[in-house]
Amino acid sequence: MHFPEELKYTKTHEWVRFTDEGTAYIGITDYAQDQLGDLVFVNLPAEGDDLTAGESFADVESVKAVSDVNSPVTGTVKEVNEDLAEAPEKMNETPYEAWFVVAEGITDQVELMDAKAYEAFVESEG
Amino acid sequence: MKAYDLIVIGAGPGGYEAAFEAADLGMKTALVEKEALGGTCLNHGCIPTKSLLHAAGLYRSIREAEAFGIAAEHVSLDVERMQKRKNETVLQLRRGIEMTAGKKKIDLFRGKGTLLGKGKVSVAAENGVEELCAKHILLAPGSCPARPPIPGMDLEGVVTSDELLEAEKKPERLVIIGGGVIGVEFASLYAALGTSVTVIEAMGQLLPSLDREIAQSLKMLMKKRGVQVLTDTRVQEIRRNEDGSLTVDCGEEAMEADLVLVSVGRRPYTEGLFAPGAEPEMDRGRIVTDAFGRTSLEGVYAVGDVTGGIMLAHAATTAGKNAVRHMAGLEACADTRFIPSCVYTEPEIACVGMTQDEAKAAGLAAESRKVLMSANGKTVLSGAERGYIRVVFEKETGKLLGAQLMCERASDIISEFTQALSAGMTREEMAQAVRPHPTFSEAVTEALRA
Repeated sequence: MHFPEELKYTKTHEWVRFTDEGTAYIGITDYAQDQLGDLVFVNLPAEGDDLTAGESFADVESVKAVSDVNSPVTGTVKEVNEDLAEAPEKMNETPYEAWFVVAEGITDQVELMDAKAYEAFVESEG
Repeated sequence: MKAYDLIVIGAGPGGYEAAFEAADLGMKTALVEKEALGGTCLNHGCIPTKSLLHAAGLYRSIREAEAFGIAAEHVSLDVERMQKRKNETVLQLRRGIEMTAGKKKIDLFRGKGTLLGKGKVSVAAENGVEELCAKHILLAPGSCPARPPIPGMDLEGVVTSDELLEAEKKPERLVIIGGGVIGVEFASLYAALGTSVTVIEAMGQLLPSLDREIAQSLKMLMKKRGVQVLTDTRVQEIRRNEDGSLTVDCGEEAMEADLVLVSVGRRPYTEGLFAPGAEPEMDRGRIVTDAFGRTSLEGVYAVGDVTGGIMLAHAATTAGKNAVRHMAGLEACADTRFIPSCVYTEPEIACVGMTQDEAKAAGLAAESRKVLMSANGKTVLSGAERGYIRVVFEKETGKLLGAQLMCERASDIISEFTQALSAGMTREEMAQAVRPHPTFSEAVTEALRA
């Protein structure tokens, strides 16, 4: 299981990468994709949509189930990863490169963990 | 001059159903039609397309039946026979309309109807022009395919849905300009028949009038079936090649085709409909009407595609009947607040009411829940593709706001939702009905309780 140092993590298994420009890339973690199984569809929001910290902004589907993906931050969707929509398997293959959206205008965030804390959290969950 | 209580111009689903309603209410009715009874729906739309799609669906099912233990060899396609069967269906339904009109003692006028002024209509037929007068007039002349100003539009082999529906041969390569409902249904049809299909859509998604998730789902499904889908792409030019094939040029990309379908939308058809001075208020080509179907001219109503808005047969039929009932001083017979839309791909798509985005934009605190059909018994046993049902509702009260479906029988299941929306039901109320097992529809209960 992979826990990149430079990212921050949520209790609901999303990762977030804050940039110098005040934006944030958001995706789901290696643990999440492992738990969900082969992902076949991702329902993404649109550019300009609102994001609310802790609330669902997208959902992913394995063959059997739908899972909500929660936003780590409050802000607005600046960019959507259309390539991911075309190739949902990338969430399984390279979860930390398979970003869902880029958030901007960030005004709030949920409680975030660093890589070590998240690894410990995952261990306690499993 | 022949005098009537009502003259209807246009015998499509808007017009003929209105005429039937009027006759049932005891109104002396005339129905004017310059082409075949049944309008676009019966002759160039709903019925022929769904007939061909049904045949294509059978062809696909048979070829994929091995998984179910059925071995079918030498399965072949006879497009001419497919067309013949489709035409027989259309003819049968057309005769049905004619017979019913006769039984209801509606006077049929075969010719082009023109509104002359208050209470007066002329019908121009081969043997001359006749004038009719009536207390009420209903205009239901429909729509026609929009022809965009793309250089090369008039080349041979560049067709609209009208012509493609009569095609006796299956093209090897088909390029479809316009990924709306008509475009994707033809893409679905020809892909199933084995044609190499490309769909070009100028907007950011297929089915621009429907929600994103539906569009993305369909895009993935089409790609899986070998259809090339280009969105955010505009066609600049169509050119003829030396070997008779066509090149569709989109600037950065260009592709070859044996046939090009232009399905960029339909526009209200009002050519020759109004005599000078008898034109009601218009808005960018469509006839402006109020909630009862009244135009700005006294005694003149308009319904269906010619009024713009949702161009669907059932919307026209409902508007037509309601307009007639309004003329007779009666209540409307159906709730026009909720008009379902269906797309006859495999699996089908059906939507009614608001999407979550639309609800939010309208200032409602809305939520939605989605269930996958992969847990539905009937879906699994029939080997159906990925499908889902999404229910949108008011967060506080659970009141239903809308539903979006992509699954087997979506076009039938959607009516449950339309009914529930019309009755103002909550999720819980709609979930009270016991749905049988095993069915596709029991997934509705799952979705309502998710």
